[in-house]
Amino acid sequence: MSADYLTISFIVCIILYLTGAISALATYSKPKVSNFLSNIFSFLAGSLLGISVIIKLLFLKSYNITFDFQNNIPFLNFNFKIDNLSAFFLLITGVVSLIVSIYSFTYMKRFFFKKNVGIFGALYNLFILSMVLLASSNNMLLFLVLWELMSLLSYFLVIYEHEKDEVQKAGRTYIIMTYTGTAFITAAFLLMAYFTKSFELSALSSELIPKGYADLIYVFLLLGFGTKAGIIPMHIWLPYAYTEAPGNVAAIMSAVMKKLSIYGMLRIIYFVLPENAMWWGVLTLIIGTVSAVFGIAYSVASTINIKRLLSYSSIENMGIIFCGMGVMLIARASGNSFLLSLALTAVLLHTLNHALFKSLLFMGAGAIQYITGTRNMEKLGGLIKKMPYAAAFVFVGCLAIAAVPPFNGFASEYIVFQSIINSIVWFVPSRQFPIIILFVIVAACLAITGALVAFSYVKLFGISFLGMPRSPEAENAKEPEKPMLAAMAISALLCMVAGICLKSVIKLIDNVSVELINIKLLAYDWSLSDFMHYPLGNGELSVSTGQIAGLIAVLALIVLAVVLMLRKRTTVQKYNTWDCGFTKLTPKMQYSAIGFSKSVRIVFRGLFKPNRDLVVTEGSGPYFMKKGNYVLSTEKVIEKYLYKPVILAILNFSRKTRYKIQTGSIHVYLMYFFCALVLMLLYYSFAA
Amino acid sequence: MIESILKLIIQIMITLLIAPLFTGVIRKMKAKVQHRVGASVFQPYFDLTKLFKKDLVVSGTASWIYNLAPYVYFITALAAMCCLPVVYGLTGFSFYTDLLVVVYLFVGGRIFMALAALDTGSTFGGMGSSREMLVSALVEPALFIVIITISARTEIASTNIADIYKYMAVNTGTAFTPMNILLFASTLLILIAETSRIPVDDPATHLELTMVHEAMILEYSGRHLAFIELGTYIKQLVFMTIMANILIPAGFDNSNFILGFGIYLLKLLVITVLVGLVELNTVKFRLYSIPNFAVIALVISILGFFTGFILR
Repeated sequence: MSADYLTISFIVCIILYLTGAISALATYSKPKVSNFLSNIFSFLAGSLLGISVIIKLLFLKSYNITFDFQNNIPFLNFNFKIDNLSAFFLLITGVVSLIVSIYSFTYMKRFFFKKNVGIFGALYNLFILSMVLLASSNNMLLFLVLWELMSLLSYFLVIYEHEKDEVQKAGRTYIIMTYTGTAFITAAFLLMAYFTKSFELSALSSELIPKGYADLIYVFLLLGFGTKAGIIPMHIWLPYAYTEAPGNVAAIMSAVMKKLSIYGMLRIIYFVLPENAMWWGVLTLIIGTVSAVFGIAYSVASTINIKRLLSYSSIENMGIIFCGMGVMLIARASGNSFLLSLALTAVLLHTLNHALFKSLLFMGAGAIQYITGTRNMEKLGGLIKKMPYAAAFVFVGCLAIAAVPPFNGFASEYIVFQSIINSIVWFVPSRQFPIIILFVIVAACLAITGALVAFSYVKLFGISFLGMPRSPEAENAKEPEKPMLAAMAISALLCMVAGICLKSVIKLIDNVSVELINIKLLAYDWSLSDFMHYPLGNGELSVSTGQIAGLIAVLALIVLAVVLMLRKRTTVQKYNTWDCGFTKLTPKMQYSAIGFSKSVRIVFRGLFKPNRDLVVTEGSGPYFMKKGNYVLSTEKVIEKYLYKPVILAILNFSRKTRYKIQTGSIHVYLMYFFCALVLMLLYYSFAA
Repeated sequence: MIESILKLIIQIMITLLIAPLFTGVIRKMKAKVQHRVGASVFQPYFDLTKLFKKDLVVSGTASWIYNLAPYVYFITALAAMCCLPVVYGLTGFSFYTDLLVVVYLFVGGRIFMALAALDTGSTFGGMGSSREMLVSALVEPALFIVIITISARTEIASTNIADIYKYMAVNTGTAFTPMNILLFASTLLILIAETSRIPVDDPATHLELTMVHEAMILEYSGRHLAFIELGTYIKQLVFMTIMANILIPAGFDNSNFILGFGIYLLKLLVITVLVGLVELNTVKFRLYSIPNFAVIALVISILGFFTGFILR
């Protein structure tokens, strides 16, 4: 009975998104009305979706929401099926999109009477709808169509401010890369359909794919979905697209769209490719580790733009998820079921957590841009006094992403590390040294990644929110409006709750694990008394974020008591910051974002090849100059050494062949037609 | 329940009582070698008492982060210490905790301190926090390899304190294995880097070219400074406890509390002397030589892992 309601609510969701899109478009001449309509409908749809998939995940574990739209197109069934895996990703989609919709009520005011808000509202609703449908589609061709739709709609959203050159450039890079990725996914899907003789996605296929082809399919999937996930070296579109997209779009793209590539990988790994070779995992693990280290290194060292810092950190987080996936595949190939469930939980948990804190941080960056009009950290500073609430919420996001217990980032990084430690110990008795050494290196890399994440977010928060304002815009900043704050507050709260109530979250994820691998990570059932205590497997190996939070709270109370006691006897005097006895400090004397990260650039100079140029324009020599230009540049090593040669080769080839194929003479073109016709006839006569 | 709360209180008392002592010992050692009389080994206690009573001067640019940071730094260090086993039977906090929690608690404290340094808008602060974050990032891999080896040593891949404690109680006799000694050496280097001692940092300097930790806390005074100092002492004690108890659990299974505590103190003093010896025989490195130092720590820890699990 209740299950029917879920199907109905899902259809209502679709209708709500469509209504949002149409009504926003219809009222485009009145931006306020249009914005309100588009966001209220996506908010309602997101809440409905979130509630119904939560109900499904918790209470109707074995019931799958299905429905079918009949049509006459061969192979393409409009067949939707929501199982637990889909429901988990729909949960992320629903929660994030409902929060971002609240945020958009305020954020879109930036564009009122400057841009067409109605079109934005329509695209925004359709974009979320395409993701919702994508996560629930049960047909490979439908999946591909929706994947294309999602990429295209997100492209239009990215180039919303298309009159700017850098936006156009970002959009171009994005669309080229995403189509390259889709090509690989299409190839993989066609191969799979050829061998399994079915286009269905969510039923375990009975036909086994031959070994060599399965390997090929996995590599294609890694390339295809990895492009959307922004894994190095397919990441080059990401830092630009996320930076130039409007804040709310960047939040959704980073928190939801990227995660759908994880969904695609998991869906195919578990439903189409029932076994895998060890090297799949090793390859994924290596790619993930490289992404994590490079991503965060670039995030620390070569960014002054808040959104670019966040985008590079997104690459790092996807790297961590891919590390988990690599461990998962290695565990599956070597038949360690505990490790398999641990790594799968790590993947899903980090996917969820990253969606929560990265959407919060992107919303924070958008709020800064909304208030001050800039994303450049070098022009910010002192915002914590002008916008205290927004600052506090962003601060929560920073702590969560830096994996400080008891926030949610700690939980998932903890489980990723546990899965790596468990793999090392698992391979020790069988003396498989190469893989043990690989895991040790991965662990060391992830350790330095974790520390650099802290560095990166100290830079973000310290430079843009603390100190003295570096520009008049930052000086005149004020608190953003209530909807924006409310959205960020909800996100921040979720980051804390998901961290402290870790066990409940794992419980939720266990329902997905049972469906995929038939193993639960939590051995015994949930009870209220131990909802914060998180035992692994047999309950011997455990950590409780809730108890740590409790311990910190108790110690904080003791310290508070001591401080209150001391306060009676001492006075607090306000005075200027120490200026070495000279004139008063000015904002320019503070550390800048570039200066703050100089040490990292020097230590890891192999990655960045930093270069500085000082041109004295007035005065004699560098020591007695009056005016000069100082240029500091870092190199994008991957773009330069991997992409540039390829692009140059393609351009060269087309330049040389262009005049030979496209001569401009109509006779030659007619000959092409004729040759093509002859070839087709020949093919037909031999093939048939 | 009551018993574990009592144990927790005892552990906190012990921590607060003994933590400042070791810095005093190092200073005394240094003074003796330099043919000075030096201050009493209890000087850090006197300093702390004085600082707690002093009035505060707070920068006008600073926000709540600055005022909160000393307490967070102190609390995270103390919470980390509460997670560790000190003497047989006394493990303070219950067992649902983990070595990785200790590391990440320090990350939290460090983030707050680095932000507080940026909060005053002082150039010294920015310099200090940038350098401190770098140094900690560089030694992090070595620390994680040490933790991984410790957990691999338990044979059930556990970083949980209860499992490590069980291992410690059983393996007190065979504490001085090559693996343990290599890990001990690596952790000694990590301790030096994390608690800002020579050759990575100089706790006595106030010269802008050489300051790391001191530059971060330059603006602090009064009880703020006292909490930071105490936090650093506790942080030092945490690393020493990991070295003394977890890495070399010799004599740990002594059920006599007084005797066990005596052995613990003795081991801590030995480590203090080692830190002091390093400090006396080296000079401070250039900032960009610290990667070499960190790589040495990493290589020693990896060698420790290899001797334990690969070269058997």
